[in-house]
Amino acid sequence: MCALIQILDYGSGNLFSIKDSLNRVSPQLKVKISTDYEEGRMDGLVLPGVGSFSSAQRLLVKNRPAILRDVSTKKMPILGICLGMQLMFEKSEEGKGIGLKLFKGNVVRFESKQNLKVPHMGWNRVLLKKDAMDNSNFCYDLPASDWAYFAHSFFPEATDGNFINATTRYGNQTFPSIIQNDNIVGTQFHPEKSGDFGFKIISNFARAVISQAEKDPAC
Amino acid sequence: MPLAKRIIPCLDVKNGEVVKGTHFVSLRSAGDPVELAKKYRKDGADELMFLDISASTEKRKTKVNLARSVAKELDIPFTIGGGISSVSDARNVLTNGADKVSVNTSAVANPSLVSDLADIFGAQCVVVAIDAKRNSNSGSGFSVCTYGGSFDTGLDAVQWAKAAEKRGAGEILLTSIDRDGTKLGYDSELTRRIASQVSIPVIASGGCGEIKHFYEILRGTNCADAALAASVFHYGELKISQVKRYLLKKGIEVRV
Repeated sequence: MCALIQILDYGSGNLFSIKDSLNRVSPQLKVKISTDYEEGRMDGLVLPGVGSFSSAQRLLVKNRPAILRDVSTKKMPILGICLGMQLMFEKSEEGKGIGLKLFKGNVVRFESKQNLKVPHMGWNRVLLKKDAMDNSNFCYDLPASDWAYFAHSFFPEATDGNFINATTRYGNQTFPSIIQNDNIVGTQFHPEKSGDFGFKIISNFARAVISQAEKDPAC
Repeated sequence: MPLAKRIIPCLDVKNGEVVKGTHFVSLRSAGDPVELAKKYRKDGADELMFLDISASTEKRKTKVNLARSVAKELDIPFTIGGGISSVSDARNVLTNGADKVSVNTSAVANPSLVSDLADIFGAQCVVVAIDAKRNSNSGSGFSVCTYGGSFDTGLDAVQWAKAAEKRGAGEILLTSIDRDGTKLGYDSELTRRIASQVSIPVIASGGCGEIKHFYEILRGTNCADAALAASVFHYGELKISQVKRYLLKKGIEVRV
């Protein structure tokens, strides 16, 4: 048995680390990096966290219908990291175009004021909601509070609090750092760069992908 | 909530091995980059910096191989610098596993390189490294040197830092040439002068020799956001975990 997972390539930046991280979870996972989403063949999809909203969004346009079909009808697990999570919302102040609209709300920029450095870059705390550990397969075994690596200037103003599993505070701003609606998950930080804490999240996602593959073994 | 102050070991890599010198010269060997990377990650490094200082024509290949072999071992951010002078040089290391690139001489010579890199890869990928030296002819008292510290451009260090930020740099790696390898402590005056003039993170570098030097450069306002050190870690004089416990006790927020 193997599980197929695709990392959508927007054309710039480091995809090596997330691929390597997935490979470390299980040799069962076959990771493919490509600019074209292969509908119906994948057991999981990662929207990685490098690039700009406009350029990534342009690439998403042609893949959107296929991705949305697999995510809603097959309940395929999808993980958005940083920019990838922002692409799951409606639109962004960073650039033109619309997102995947998997979550309601828009992506806005941190205001640089009061000594607040933007981009928000470095290690900050991720505070898990009380019920997240019990209710979310994706947050399984995570500590109530831990450090994660962030590198971003924009964040989603989520409108539905039910989908927020964890938050992070920067300056006076609290923003969602882990969101989830069933098989759709997003992290504003980079789990592939967040040491042991991040690896737990990648492992939880990978396990969801493997159980997806067991439903309909392709290889 | 403030970000954790970062402790960043720096690996100066020459022809595939880690070296360390004083005032940028008299290099001696300190080991294998991948092995050191693994060791530092385990000991709690928040990030790693690799500066390729090889003079060979094999530079490009060295960097790509380094990016790949380090990326396989690391789950914390890492930056590669040294001899990156074009978008394609940067793409080469970023697509092979580096998270950020650091530019120095090439950015001074061609400042639009900073904007080009930021447009394509995002500001968070672009570190502008400034090697600064005390120079009384310079407005701020510090001027920018290039070519591994050997050439004083006469350019004012504060002005250049501000220009780099404006062009899209995501961080400044600020090295004091006067302090490099001396173990006398970071140049606090240089660091605070620049940190107070830019709103992007500043990584202090050059001169760290004792545990208290970390505290001195990371405390108070307009201080450094991260402290970079090489020899104190390479030669086992200090452990990263020990430095972080010490800082935590002193009331500095660190990731432990």
